[in-house]
Amino acid sequence: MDTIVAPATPTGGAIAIVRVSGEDAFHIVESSFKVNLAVKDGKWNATLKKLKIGDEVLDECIVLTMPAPKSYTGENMVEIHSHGSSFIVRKIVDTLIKHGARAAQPGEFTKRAVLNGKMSILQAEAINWLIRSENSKGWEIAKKQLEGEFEAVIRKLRKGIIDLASDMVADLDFSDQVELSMDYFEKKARYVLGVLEKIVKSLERSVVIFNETKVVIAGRPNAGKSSLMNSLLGRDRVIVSDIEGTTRDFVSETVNIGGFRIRLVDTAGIRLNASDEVEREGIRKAYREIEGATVLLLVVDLERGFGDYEKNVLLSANGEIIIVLNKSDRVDDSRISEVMESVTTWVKNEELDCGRVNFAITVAKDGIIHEVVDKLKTILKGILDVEIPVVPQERYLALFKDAHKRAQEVVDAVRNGMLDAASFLLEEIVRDLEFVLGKVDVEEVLDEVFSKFCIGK
Amino acid sequence: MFDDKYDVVVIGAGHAGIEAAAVVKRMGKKVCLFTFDLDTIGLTPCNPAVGGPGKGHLVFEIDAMGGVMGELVHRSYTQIRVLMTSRGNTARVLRAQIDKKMYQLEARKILEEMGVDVKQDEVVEIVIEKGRVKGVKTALGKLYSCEKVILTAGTYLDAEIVLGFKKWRAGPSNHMASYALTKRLLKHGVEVTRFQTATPMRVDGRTIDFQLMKPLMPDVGITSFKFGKKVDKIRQVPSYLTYTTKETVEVIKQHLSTSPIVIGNIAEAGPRFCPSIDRKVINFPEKPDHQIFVEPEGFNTVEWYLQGLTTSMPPYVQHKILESIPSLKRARITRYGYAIEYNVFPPFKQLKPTLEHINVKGLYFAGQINGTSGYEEAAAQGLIAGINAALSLDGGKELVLSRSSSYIGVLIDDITTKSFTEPYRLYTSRVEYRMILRASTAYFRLTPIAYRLGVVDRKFYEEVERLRKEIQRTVELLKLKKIAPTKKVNEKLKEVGSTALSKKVSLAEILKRPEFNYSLLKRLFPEYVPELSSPDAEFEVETEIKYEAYIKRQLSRVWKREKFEKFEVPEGFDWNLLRGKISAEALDELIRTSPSSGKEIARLARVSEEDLVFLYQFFRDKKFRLRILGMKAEEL
Ligand SMILES: Nc1nc2c(ncn2[C@@H]2O[C@H](COP(=O)(O)OP(=O)(O)OP(=O)(O)O)[C@@H](O)[C@H]2O)c(=O)[nH]1
Ligand SMILES: [Mg+2]
Repeated sequence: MDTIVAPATPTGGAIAIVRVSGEDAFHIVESSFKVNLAVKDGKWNATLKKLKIGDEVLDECIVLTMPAPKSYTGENMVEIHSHGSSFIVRKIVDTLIKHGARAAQPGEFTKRAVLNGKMSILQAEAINWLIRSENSKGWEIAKKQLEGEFEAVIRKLRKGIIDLASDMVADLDFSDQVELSMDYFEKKARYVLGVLEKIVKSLERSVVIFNETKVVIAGRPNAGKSSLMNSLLGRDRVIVSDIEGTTRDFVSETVNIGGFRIRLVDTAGIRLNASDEVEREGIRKAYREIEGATVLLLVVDLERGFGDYEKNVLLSANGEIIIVLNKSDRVDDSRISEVMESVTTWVKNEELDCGRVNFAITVAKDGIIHEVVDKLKTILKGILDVEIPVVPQERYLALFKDAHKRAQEVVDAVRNGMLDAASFLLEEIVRDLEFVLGKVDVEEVLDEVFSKFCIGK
Repeated sequence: MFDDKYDVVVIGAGHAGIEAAAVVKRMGKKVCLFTFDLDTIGLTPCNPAVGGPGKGHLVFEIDAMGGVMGELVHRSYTQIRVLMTSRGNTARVLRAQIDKKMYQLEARKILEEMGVDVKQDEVVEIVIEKGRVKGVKTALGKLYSCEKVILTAGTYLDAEIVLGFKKWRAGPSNHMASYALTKRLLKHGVEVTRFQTATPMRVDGRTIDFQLMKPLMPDVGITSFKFGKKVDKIRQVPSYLTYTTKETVEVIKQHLSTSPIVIGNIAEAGPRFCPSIDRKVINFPEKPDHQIFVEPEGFNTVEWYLQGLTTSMPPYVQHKILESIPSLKRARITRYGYAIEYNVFPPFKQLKPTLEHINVKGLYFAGQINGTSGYEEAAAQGLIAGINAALSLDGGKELVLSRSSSYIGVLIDDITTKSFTEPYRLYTSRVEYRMILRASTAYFRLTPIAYRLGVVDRKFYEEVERLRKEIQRTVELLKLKKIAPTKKVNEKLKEVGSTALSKKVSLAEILKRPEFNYSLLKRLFPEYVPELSSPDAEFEVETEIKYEAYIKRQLSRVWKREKFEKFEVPEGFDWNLLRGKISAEALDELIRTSPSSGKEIARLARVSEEDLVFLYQFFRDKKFRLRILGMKAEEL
């Protein structure tokens, strides 16, 4: 393996660290700066050294040597702790490269650690997200994955899959000797489905945690969106008027609600027949915000009711939804239940997930919005309650969602008496998740068959 | 110097040898089949059954390629049953019981009718000069010249029978065996190892209490293992199911010290899927009720076979075992169970996928000597070895069936790319493309290939094609024909417990509903759904429609997988060069097994699909390789 080098710290600190890793790491550092590292076999060693380039001393540095395999990458490693000047750092790196090292690609140190068996891919990815975590929840998730909690879940999933696969093999290949009921298969398939479901749900929440939690206010012009925004912020941030289309662009503020830091966005009211280009652009942006919202606050003017405007918005939403029934001071209770009823009926007809839809009754202009705040807190708590600690690595989400879909198909196939198809689908899941499960060889499944069932002629 | 001259000599007239000799003859070559005993051609020394999951697929494929096994089973069955009727269409398969003696007579007859030279003499040496087959020498001192030898000696090489404390030299059922051939072969760079297998006792049917057993009734009217032939009912006999008892387990536990597995006078490498009853008791001591299938050995014999009671414990223990089972309490043993040890030439790293030996040109190995078990596995290999021997006589391109083409392809690929420590059996679970390799598609997949090779005649091929087109046409028709949600249609659907239509859908969509099958669809929409030429054709249409999504998905896997397996590893490649480029786990396995091709690599347990794709690029793309190794072109 060639030897790689890269600064490990950002510029601007008092101290900077340059990392070197590879078979020749010690040798390259010694010849670059004319020092003797006196590396001790199997032991870390830190010494203060004057690094020279030619005859000139560049800097006095702490040089830490970590012989293979007891280092982060599992290779010979050197860390040079210099003063934090970007000039010094650049000099150190350049000199090392001149003497045979190569500039590391992003993530290459961790990649080597994985390839050398120092950590699993899942751990490496956890480190990546640990660095990026900005709140305690994200830190906790990444740390737990690093410590192997997610891997434990994966092991359980793998065991469940092999268990089910071996039952299927026993039944399909030794039909005269093993006959298991379809109910039995369904139960086991549901277990696999359940684990995958939990993983997918946790991943979806993890995405929210590592990204900003966005709460978007939408609704038709003049519904009271800006009034709600101001009330939530506790100050008059946005202009409120009874002219339709007052807010043209979206306005966004960070706010703390019940201990959660969220980004609150007020959008332009959606008018279907917006005439001028500025307003149309505002509406396009509003839709983009609605799609990306973790929680959508759809403000409905109780006087005007639930119509096409509102329906369009709901169909674009991907996150949780609170229907804010505003201007409740202007109507009587029967009108409120009438509007609620029409929303509920429509949601059911469209087969939207009813669990996602909540109601809050408000008088935004007077700051009577406690129902919104309470619902928001409950939803956020739910979102942040992640059962399985898993970082939102992009490919995980796609693959696990796919596997989850397949698992549902396995259950359906079993219910329809197609055990042959179910066993095929299960193999597909195994192959798609190979990167986390590891390869599941047919021999491993057969071993399980023979240890579980007494089979033979 | 030579007494006679043949193109191909086949040694051993078991299931592999029969297929090999027959197909070589079909391909117009001069062939001689040697056997110890002309009266035991096609001996079935273990159970009197052919087919079942995996094995049944093989029989259809053999039949599709012009082999004789399907025909022999059809001529000699005592019963045929459809298995796996409630596990989905693609799992359904046949199993036949055969009359052993009749099978042998028909086997000999078929070979004689075809004009295969059959000879009773023992081949004691394969004459090999400069790594090339020249002929064979026999025990009677005869010398035959030939370019190709197909060795299909089954369990007869250096065979030893083990029964209780006794061990003696003999072939299956105490037949003559061969003790000269292997030794002489080893001089030519051929590797050998030893396996064992065992068989249960046979009993006199007049002493069995059938009243205490559950009869397993045959099916009638279904298509047989022979293309286009039906199973007729007059000749069928049921088999029976009974169980061991707590007492059986006690008896075996008491006498375990007499079991050859415990004594240790038997090779370790026995088949896990066919454990002896003593092994079952050791592994599952809590289980009292082990199944015993009681199967007739034939029409004209009183002997019955006790599948499930395999053992080589001493005779007195075998009596005690039967006494512990109410239905077999009085059963008189006609032959005792025994184990047999025999020579195996592991094909991994020794045979090409054509089944020719890598060190001896013209020498092919097929059947149980390759470490497989089962009549069907043997026959399949014999067929392929025969085809390849004949093809290479003309210098033509040899036949290698891919894993995605057939169960036969999987079988041969498995044994030539992986090593096995026990006799190999072809489970359906080994067949990753089983959604497309259905028993029902064997003819469509393989008959065209066999026709091109000149193994099957035009008439057979055309019949297969006609059937294929009929199915294809019907599938298309059902996909195109749309049914409107009229009141009449919805009433019909309601009558059969199916949900009403809310919009226009195709007949195919309706057939996909779990509660539907082809005949129900035909009954409900007789004006659109045609009656096909056979129930098999209707079944196949139904399968293609119901499994469409899976079949499609599997096909897309096939091309991807086959693509990334296509590369060779240069001889002596230093895998250490890839340290740090692929996972350490995969690297360890690559170093340990030093594979020579992408196909072998794909079978390794620790090499993931991602690794495979990487290696494909590495060995196929020079630029990529140089970049990975950090070298410039001139350094390599
Ligand atoms: N009676 C009553 N009036 C309200 C309430 N909430 C807002 N309003 C009034 O409704 C008018 C519109 O309020 P905004 O908050 O500007 O409405 P908006 O949805 O932001 O409107 P656009 O920005 O034009 O889309 C103002 O005159 C508010 O004072 C409420 O709960 N009750
Ligand atoms: Mg506004």
